[in-house]
Amino acid sequence: MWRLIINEGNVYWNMGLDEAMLELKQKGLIPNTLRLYIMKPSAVTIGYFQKVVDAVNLSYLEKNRIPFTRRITGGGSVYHDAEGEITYSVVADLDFIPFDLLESYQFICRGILEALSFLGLKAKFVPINDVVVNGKKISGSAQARRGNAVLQHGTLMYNTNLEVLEKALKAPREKLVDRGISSLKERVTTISLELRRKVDKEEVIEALKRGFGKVFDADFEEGDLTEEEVFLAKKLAGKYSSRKWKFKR
Amino acid sequence: MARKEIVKRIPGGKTLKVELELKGSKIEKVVFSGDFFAYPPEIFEELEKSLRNVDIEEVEERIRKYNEKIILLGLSLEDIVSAIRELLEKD
Repeated sequence: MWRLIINEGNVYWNMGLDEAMLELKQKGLIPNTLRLYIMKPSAVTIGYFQKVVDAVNLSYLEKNRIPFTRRITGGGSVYHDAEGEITYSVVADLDFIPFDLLESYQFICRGILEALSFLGLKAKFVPINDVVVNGKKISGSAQARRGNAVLQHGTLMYNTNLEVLEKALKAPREKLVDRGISSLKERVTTISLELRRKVDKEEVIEALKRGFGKVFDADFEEGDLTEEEVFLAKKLAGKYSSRKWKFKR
Repeated sequence: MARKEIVKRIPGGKTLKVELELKGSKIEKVVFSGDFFAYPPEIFEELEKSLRNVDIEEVEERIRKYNEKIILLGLSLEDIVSAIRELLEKD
């Protein structure tokens, strides 16, 4: 049985809830869950090992009141556009996914590939953790494991404002040179850009439900958060909003 | 005390930044950062801490001790070793 949660909230609460769910899954207290959510207001998350100053444009974030936090998962910085991006998280028993890390990324990302296929786009998984359409990144994922539980969360851009993304995030010069491009904007895309029409979030959420449902062979039942999840998420939100956590590196 | 840093783009992988604080031939502090994945993250942090007050001659051996304990995606411990080597050779 898979539970489906669809909700929205600020970035601290959302990162708190993802971690809370991983923690409670590990204790066997919640079912396997797919959560589809919106970051409201728009926000930035950075990878666990990233340095704030290298990953984001701090003055731009401050000036535009865009909150940011550090994830418990590795990987790079992400701009979560409230009007153009869906974040997903999969919380499951570890034995539900391949044990090998790379294979497990690929397995869960197949849900995104299927969702994009339902929307009419041919997408490709590019190891380690990217999904690309026409050579441009449209989705990135990151995974954490604790005990017998896994959390994989990631992004799917359907109408992200790439001008803001470009200004909010920093890509290392080395990375851009390596890929033969001069800006971040050139290497990312959105569902709307690729389909040449404005796609709305309901459509994308529906596609993600179908995509993950197919890959996980799951019938999702929309459910509610448990009291423990809400309690723990609130507590953890405090960590995610703290300067100490954000500026750990 | 000398501070040195280097950023390496790992072919087919992620980005690694190494920041080193040296006192004579000893490492005062080292920070590895970037968009890579390390499992479990707390053991990776333990590795960083274990390099404090270590002579640069012993660094490579210390890092390799973690071979069995850490799984990295997007770079390898050998990439970290060679980045440090390159950094130490840099003026």
